[in-house]
Amino acid sequence: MASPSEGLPLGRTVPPVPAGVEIPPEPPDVGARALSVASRLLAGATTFFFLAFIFAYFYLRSINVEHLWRHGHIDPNQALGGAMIGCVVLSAILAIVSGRQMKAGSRSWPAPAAGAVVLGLAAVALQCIEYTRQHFGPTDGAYASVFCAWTALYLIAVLGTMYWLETQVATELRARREPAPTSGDIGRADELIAPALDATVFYWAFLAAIGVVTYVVLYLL
Amino acid sequence: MTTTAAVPTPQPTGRPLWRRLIGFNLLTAVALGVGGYYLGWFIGHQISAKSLAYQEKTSENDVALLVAYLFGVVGFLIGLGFANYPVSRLLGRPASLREKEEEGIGRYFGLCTDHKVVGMQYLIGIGLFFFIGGVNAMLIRTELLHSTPTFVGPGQYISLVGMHGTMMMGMMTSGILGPFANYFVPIMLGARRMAFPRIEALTFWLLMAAGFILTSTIFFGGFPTGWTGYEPLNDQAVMGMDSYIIFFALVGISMCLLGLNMMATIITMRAPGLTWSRLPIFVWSVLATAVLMVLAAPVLVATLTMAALDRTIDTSFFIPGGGGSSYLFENLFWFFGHPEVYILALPGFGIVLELLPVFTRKPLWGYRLAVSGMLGVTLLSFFVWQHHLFVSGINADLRPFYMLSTEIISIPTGFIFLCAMGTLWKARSSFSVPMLFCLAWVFNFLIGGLSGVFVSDTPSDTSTHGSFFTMAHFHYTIMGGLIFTFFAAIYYWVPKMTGLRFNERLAKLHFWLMFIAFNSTFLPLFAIGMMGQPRRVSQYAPNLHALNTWVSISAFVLGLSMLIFIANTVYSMIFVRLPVAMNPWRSKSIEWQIPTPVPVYNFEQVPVFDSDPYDYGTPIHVGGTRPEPAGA
Repeated sequence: MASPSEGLPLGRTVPPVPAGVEIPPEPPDVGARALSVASRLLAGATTFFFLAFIFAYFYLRSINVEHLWRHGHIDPNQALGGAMIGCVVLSAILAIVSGRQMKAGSRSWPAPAAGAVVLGLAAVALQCIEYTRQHFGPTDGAYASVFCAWTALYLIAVLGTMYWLETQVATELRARREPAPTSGDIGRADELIAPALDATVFYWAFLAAIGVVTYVVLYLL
Repeated sequence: MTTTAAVPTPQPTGRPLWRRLIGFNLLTAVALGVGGYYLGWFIGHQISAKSLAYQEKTSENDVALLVAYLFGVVGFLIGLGFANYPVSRLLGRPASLREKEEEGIGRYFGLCTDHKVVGMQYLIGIGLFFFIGGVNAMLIRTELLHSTPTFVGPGQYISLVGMHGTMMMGMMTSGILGPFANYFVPIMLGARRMAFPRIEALTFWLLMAAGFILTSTIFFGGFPTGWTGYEPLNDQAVMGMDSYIIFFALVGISMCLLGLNMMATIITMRAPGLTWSRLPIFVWSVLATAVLMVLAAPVLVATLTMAALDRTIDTSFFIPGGGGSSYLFENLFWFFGHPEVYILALPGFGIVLELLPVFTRKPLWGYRLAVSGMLGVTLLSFFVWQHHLFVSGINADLRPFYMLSTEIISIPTGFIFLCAMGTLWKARSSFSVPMLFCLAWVFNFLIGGLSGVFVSDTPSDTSTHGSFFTMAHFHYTIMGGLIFTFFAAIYYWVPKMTGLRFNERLAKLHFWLMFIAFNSTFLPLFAIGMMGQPRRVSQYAPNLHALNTWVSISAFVLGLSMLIFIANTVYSMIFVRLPVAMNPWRSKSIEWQIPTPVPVYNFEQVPVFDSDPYDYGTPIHVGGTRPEPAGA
């Protein structure tokens, strides 16, 4: 570096800066890039989380200990499962549309985003209904264990993502109601919604793809 | 270094005392945590009421305990104020940090988004649990003074071993990233904060909750599995096992978030001019570790979720009687467990390579080689996990691949070693305490690495697996690799963090006692292992008694060295409080160019980098006037 430490007065302490001061704001583009990178990293972490279940599925299926992998009566409800994954995929498509509208400068992007939230929550509801209708529980062998745990944890991930998407819509709606927001220290609200929505849409599309894999593995194979 | 982008001068703020006492702070967090725990306990009992007869018979209710822990953690986090922000975002309020940071010492006892405060919190918090883990080690060695169970019974002994191993392997995953990366990485990048400061604070408080939960296992009978939590013992164990599961799951979540935050910060918040080739080598090691944390920790969380479900709602992931397999647990656990070893080791590599140029007054030798070594270790660490299963009945055809992949990982590790040697070559070193710890790393890690060849090689692993040989090997790599560099970092950076310096004489006494006692403790364990003493068993052959006594006494001296460190810390930081020079090591790294203690906002102006921090070789002129701090 161009400012080496030559000439330092050894043995002296620089007086401390008073505590309790505010940290100055970051430029909005820094927050935007951080969100974008974080959503990709979160997708990576999510992939490895569900890879553990995919591994468990194929491992237990291949060794089929004492033929207990899957009893004959264990068959998830195809209609409800199909409807659930349909909602997930439709919701992700709506979220992508919403993101594109935002990038194009359209003010109508909250409508498809809100639709995406509703469909995502519908998917959660459908999965819960399926739990009450299916003829097996988590104690009915290895497949049933994988099915119940995997789908339940996927639902939690969907719920979390719907929360994230909802915050973008709510922030935008509030910003419209109360113009000139003073968000303060990590950038103005309107400057942060676009990258936050972009990050959320990316993650939701990724999670939907994991949902499709979940459906194929648990319902079709 | 030139500067740009001036920012307004911050103004001090304050809050009334009553507001600070009854607001969101540690006091509230403990109250809500305890309340949440009992609420969860009650709900758990209601959920599992149908198996009440079983519970009454065995005094066991895993559902109640797991729900209690979860509710307790949630209550604890709400008490600290972590729920305020998500709720406010749900209502559409814009993203922001806390309105004002707390003043004075109170900010260390609550949610604080200043990365330097979080770094200090980590240092104290991890130090506390490191101490508990160390006390467990002393108890283990006390028991092994006798060849038959004397001091504690076999059940308590295995619980002690499990507590020690789990505490050390879990808490110390953030041993360097927690305090030192949180504190110094933003500064080294020329940034004022981490990318996600609230997540940064969350990782710390999750870890503290986890540590407390693991410690509470003693009230529920402990756990008999050691730190690996192997099935089917895991499923059969008493409720203390639930503490292990929740502990490691929380550590996994904390690790994953910490890694994600570090990566996002390093990728996006570098100051102008700080290209990848100018990044301090410590930051590279943090980046490599963060990759492992983000990708390996989720597998751990998933595995422990399966284990918890097996114990509570009777799924059969790992229960052969229901179609599961305990080998599934071994595979999943070690898919995390081996990268975990590098999560512990890589930051140590970074510390050594960061400090050696400072004390040799030479540029870092082989910067790019060191970076490629770190990234190589990161990549390869995902392809070696099955060497932990060599004697567990894996397909024999798989053994050569995993033996080879494990041995290949010594190549990138060798790069790191080569860079350390190259930097030391013909150097006129100054043997300050941090440098001594770095040199100890060279010695210890060499032994750890060479003994690793024996446990990665299938034929020799067959006889050494599960013995004290393996135990000695990983203590040489983890304690010799991580803990020695942890202390190097403490002696090097804590003066910057506190503005106070350690007593040099006591520090050197600490080093020499620790180094000699460490080797005196663990070197004989190779022999003890080769002579057949198994791990995790308190009874051993009488002919090994003399060696075990030697090892125990050495371990007590090792414990004494830690007490000297604590005494030095208390003496230097509380009683004597000698101020440290602005740049006592005459380092060219940016953290030593800014005022001590570091201002809340780090830099008055964003710095611009025009070279790497290792251009040593020019003589340092001592005396004269103090230059402007970096960024001024």
